[in-house]
Formats: sequence, C-alpha cells, structure tokens
Amino acid sequence: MNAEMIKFLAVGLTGSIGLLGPALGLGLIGYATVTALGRNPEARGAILTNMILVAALTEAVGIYALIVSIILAMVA
Amino acid sequence: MSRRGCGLIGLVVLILFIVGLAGGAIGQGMGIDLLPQVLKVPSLEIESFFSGEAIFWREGFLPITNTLIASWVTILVATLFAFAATRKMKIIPGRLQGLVEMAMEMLINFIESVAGHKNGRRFLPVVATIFIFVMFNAYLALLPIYGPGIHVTLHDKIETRDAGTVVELMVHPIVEKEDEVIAVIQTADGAREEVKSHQTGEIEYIVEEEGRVEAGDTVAVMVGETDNGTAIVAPVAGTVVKLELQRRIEESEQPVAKIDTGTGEPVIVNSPKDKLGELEYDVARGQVVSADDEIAVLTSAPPFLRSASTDINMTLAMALLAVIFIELMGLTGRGFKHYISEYINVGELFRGMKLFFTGKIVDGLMASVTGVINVIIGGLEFISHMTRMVSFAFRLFGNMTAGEILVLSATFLIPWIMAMPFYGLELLIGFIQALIFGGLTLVFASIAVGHGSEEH
Repeated sequence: MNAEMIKFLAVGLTGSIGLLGPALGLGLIGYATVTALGRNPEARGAILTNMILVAALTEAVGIYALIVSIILAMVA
Repeated sequence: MSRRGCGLIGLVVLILFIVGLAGGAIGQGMGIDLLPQVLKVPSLEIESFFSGEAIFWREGFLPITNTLIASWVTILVATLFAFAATRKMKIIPGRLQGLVEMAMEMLINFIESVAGHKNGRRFLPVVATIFIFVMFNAYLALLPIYGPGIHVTLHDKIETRDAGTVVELMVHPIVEKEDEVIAVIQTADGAREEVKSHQTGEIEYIVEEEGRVEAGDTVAVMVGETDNGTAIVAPVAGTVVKLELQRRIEESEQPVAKIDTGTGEPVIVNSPKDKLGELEYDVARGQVVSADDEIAVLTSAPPFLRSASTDINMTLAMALLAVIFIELMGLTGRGFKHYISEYINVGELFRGMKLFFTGKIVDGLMASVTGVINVIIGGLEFISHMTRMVSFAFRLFGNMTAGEILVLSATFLIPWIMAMPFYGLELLIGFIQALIFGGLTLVFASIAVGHGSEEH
C-alpha cells in the first residue's frame, strides 16, 4: 500500500462516508415532509418552503465532504 | 407549436445526443472517435480551486481577479435592471415593472413572515441585497461568456498508420515542437515510419519498445499545454535589477527581467518563444539569483469572467457582512448589557461566590457550579456564532463550485445535450442558495433581536 493508494482511499472514503449523513438526513426530511403533507395537505406551501430550506442546509454538509475530498485529491 | 415542429426539435436533440455520446469522453473511451479535434471537449483539470485568477496586476496594488470583475458585472447588471424597471413607474405597471414589483412583494412578504412587520422592514435592505446579489451571480455565471475555474487541456491520441514493430521511442516526456518525431515503427516490408505529434505538451506512451502495433493503434497520449506552467530560468548568476512588471505576455519573446552580473551589460531575460499567457514572478527586485534559478512561471491566460461565488474570498466577505449585520442587530435590538451577557455570563458565578463566602456553603457551591457551566455555555455560544461565518462561506462556495464542476463534467462526458438538464438544475440551485443565504441571515438576525424581547 503506497502513498498514492492511501490518498485515493482517503479521497473516496471522505466522499462516501461524508455523504452518508446528508443522505440519511435528506431521507428523513422527505419522510417527514410526506407525513406532514398527508396529515395537513392545506399547509402545502409552508411545508414545502421549509423542506427546501432544510434540504439545502443538509445538502451543504455533503458539499463540505465533497470539498474536502477534492482538496485531498488535488493537493495532498 | 405544431406537432411537426416538436418532432423536428426532438429529432435534432436526438441527433445531437447521439453525436455527443459518440464524440464525447464516453464515446472516446469506447473507441469511437468521430469528431474533429476542434470540436472535441477538453478534459478537466482543476486549476485554481479556491479563488479567481488575477487579470490585472501591478506590484503593490490589489490584484484584480476574474471573479472580482464578475461581481462588478453582477452589480452593474442588477443596478441597470432595477433602473430599467423603475425608470418610468406607472400606476398600472408594465411587464418589467410588474415583474420587479411582484418579486419585491414576495421578498417583503417572506421577510415579514419570519421577522414580523417592524423588524422585517429593518432587515429588508440587507437581506434582499444578499438574496438579489447571490441570485444574479449564480444566474449570470450560467452565460457562456463566463469561463470555468477549471483548466482546459487538450488530450490528443497519436496513432500509427501501419502495423509493425516499434523500434524507437523518443523518451522525452515533454514535446516542445509540433511535428516532433515521437516514435519510429518498422513495418513488415522493412520501411520505417515515423510517428509525429500534432501539438506541444506532455506525452505518455502506451506501447513499449520492441512491441507489436497494428495500424491505427494508439502509440501515445498527449496532454497538450499542461498548465503547470513554463518556467523561465535565469541564464546567468547575478542580481535582478529590473522586472518588467507586465502581467500578460501577448507576444512571443518579451523581456521579462534584467539581471546584473556585475561585469558589464545587464542580461535581459526573455519569455520563451511561442508561449503566451500569464506571468507570475518568483523573484523580487534586488534579489540575488544563481544561474538556472527560476525567475517566473508562465501559464496560459485564465478566463476573463468567472462566477463570483466560486471565489472563497467573495463568499467569505459576504459571510462576514452577514455575521456583522446579525451581531449589530443583536446589539442594537437588545441593548449592550443583554447582548454581552449572552457571551460573558458570569452573574450566576458571582452570586454563587457571594453565597459561598457569606456562609451558605452548599447553596453557594451549587450556584457556583451552575455559574461555571454558564460561563462555558457563553463561550460555546460565541464559537457557534463565529462558525456561522465559516458555514455561510463554504455553503455558498461549495454549492456554486460543485454546480460548475457538475455542468463541466456533464459537458465532458456527453457534449451539448447532457449539460442542458444540469443548467436547469443550476437555475434551481442558484435560487435556493440565494434564499438560504438571505433566509439564514434573516432567521439569525431575528433570533438575535427576538431573544431579548422574550426575556424582558
């Protein structure tokens, strides 16, 4: 196992493990949104607005992982 | 539109898709290579990831980067747009005025629904500015005149024309001339065929010496003009007496620096032949160099405009503005005492100490412990306020950069058609990120103001 291999492993693992959390989070957001919509279809507008806001916040965490792995791939 | 028109457009899209699939990176990987060199989509190489590249540059002044110019363009476009919409205001609005009024109304409603009427009106200017600026940045960056921060290199395959044995490989890794012989192949009838390069750049051999090749086999792959840059080295030892501080080399063999060897005429160092681009100096005036020291690096010119949000300096500046705005709102909205007690919360600790020293030891100890916890919580609060800045900056930067890379990768894999859905996605992302940046500033600011009024 040489340095190059470890670097690529690090890049891949940063991306994949870092994306586990946001993936789980997005799933939970979708689940909660659909549940809320089922219970209270009139509040569709408010629910969707909040969903998009929170989904983008969650997605940003995945983007952090992406940045870290890109930096690793480029610099390290 | 008529059915025939739709069908025609569908057909054109399908043809473009098939041609793109065959000619792009995927097609090339499968061995189909039908596009001429000019139309080939270059491969990706990330050049300056975190910030823009300087376009105008003078020693001692702020370098003007392409992202900075892009942000000026955004300001200009947004201002002109607002001016055009409000120039001739009517009671019954026209189309443009109607659009802007509608957008403004939606913004105001959104802000007031979060922060309430009074605070909402106070927050409106900053929050709406952030929203509009981020959105215009994102949308303008989708125009074709904006270049990517990702460097463009041309991959080129060099192929044999005849089958035979490879008898000689010119093992220079860097090809400096077009039409340089890079391999010699002996064909079955004894003729020697030279394989030449089409361009300059770095070369990677696929075949081995003494190996067999068939006609049309790839001998080597060239990466044209890799932008590690061309180093300009000092021909002699001496002191650098003059640097021609021009940033961009637009003609071949321009003077770059002057070196005084101490004996007679200073030596003028020229930029390399047939190389144009951006110059970056590694030495300063008056520095002593020895022969073969690197004076400057010449890289090819960056794009003139690049999406402003893909520069970390830009997003960090905006995050700084947002955080200062939030803290200022907290300070003015709740008064200095309440504002500062959020961070430096020593009241409970002092109370506990007082109780402790006046004899109520158990009560005093309890209150002191709570007080210490309060102090730590105050510190954590401060840190969490400051980390907002980092997350603001990186969220926008990351999303915009990721979008840029996404569109480029799609263009690279299957040219033309594949990128179109991603442009649609980028329109959505641009809007949402603007909403997030503005919305979070708004939410944090209204929390900072609101806390106090609840406690009173």
